[in-house]
Amino acid sequence: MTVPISLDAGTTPPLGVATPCRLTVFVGDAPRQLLILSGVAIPEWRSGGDLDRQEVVIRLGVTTTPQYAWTATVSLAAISNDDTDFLFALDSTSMDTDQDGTLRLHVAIAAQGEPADLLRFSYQVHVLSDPVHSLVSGLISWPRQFGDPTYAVLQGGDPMFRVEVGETVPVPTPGQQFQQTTFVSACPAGLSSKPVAAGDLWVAAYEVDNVPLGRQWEVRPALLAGALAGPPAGYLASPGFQPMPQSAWLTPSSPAATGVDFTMTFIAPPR
Amino acid sequence: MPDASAATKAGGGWLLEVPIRAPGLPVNLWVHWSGLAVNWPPRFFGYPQEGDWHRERATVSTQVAEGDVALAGQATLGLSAVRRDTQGLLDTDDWGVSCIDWLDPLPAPVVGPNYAVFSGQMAHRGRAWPGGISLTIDLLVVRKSLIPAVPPVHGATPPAHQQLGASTVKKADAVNDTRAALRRQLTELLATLETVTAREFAEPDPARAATPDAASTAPMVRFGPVLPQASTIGLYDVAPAAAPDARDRGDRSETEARRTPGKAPTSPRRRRPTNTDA
Repeated sequence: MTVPISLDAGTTPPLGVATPCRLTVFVGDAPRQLLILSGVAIPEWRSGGDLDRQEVVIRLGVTTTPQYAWTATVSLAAISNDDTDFLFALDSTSMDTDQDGTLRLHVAIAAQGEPADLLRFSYQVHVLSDPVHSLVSGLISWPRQFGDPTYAVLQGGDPMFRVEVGETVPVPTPGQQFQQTTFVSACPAGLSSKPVAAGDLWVAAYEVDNVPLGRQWEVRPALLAGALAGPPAGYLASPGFQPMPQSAWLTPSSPAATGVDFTMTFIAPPR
Repeated sequence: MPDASAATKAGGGWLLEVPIRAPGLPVNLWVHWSGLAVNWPPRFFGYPQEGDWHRERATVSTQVAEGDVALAGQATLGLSAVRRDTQGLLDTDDWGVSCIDWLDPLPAPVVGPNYAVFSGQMAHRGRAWPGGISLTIDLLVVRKSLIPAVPPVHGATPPAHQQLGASTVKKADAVNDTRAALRRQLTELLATLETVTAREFAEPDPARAATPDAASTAPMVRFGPVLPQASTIGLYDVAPAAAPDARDRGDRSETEARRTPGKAPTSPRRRRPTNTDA
């Protein structure tokens, strides 16, 4: 039994993997996490002349939850041969996790020739799991007529919005006729990503992590000072968000809410 | 390396658009494309054919529609068919094919209408080249038309005035039934087309039957079905690559397998057992 060839897409630089790529998305409602991993593995393996077999193990550089589903596709990418009978094969794939939870792709390869080199093969892996941690996320959009993000946001990486998840609770005010309330955050606030222009809209994504489960929470965005070059004259400086309130209720079986979206608007007061 | 005819011979491929969200990216759509670029013509005329690896930059591109902005993307290539011709007495018989040495992810956002372009590197040595390439492309897109003026309240059912009436539901069901029937018919037609095509290619070509390698050309031809929704994809040449970088590993045989032009051809070797012998 030969020792497997070990490659690692998660190190810097990658070990034996060319241009490893990773996309992470959430699909469905309740959302599930989908990892899309691809790259070109470089086993650089040579057959000794007979039909030889070898196992290649690729550490993919990402972790997932214990329960996950997967698909894997592998294809020959680079092969080489002298003037001999030859055979190149990718016989099987399987997936498991390392002791530290890192996903590993196992590929059984085979080749025959004098020599026959199986230099590279490409892989694409889809891994579907529950979200790794609880979260509330969504999009915040606004018409470009209300203004563009400032230079500090677009070029400097400053956040544009701050989003809090929590609840509104009454404040004890003895002797007063009207009860006052205050908003109490349930977890650290989240910040928005760099906005993107899509036609006549600006769109930014936000994410609030580690939201406690088992209760219904309000979701409240706020525009950070100095983040918007606007609004134009005639509008109130303070924006409103629709719909309001937005709420999310996370549970152990549904620990993420990913479509909690808002539109930012400005009001022009009557003259 | 590949030529533009691959674009039409890719058959259009298959396209999925899946509503998604992504951490840290304002996207709402995952566009997944897969297909085959098949039956490439011999393209090595005018190119070096000796036993050293020769590399070229190549790009894979797909369209980003108007109203879409692709913020992230990746592509995968694999060999689906390889063609190799034997060479003359005074030339090498070493050969090698790399449909892809590496392929970069999408380097920057692409605002449609435009092309999302992935840069990579391909290689060959001897008289061998990819006869077909399988491709997949994944794009994470923000599509403006999917962003409502006012987003719905999360987890809420639509208010009564936004729900469909009974007559509208009935019409929608009828449309869905018709669509399902048409989809079944399309599937049957494509299956018939595949069967007929396979039968045609299984029949020997009288013009080529006399050549000793005629049979080896048939498996390289495969036509994928075409969907009306399919995107277009192209593979285009770009300027030859500069000096190889660290990603050009895997060239062990490039130096080891060099031959002098005057070397005599090797004698036929004993055939080894293969997978199919059992």
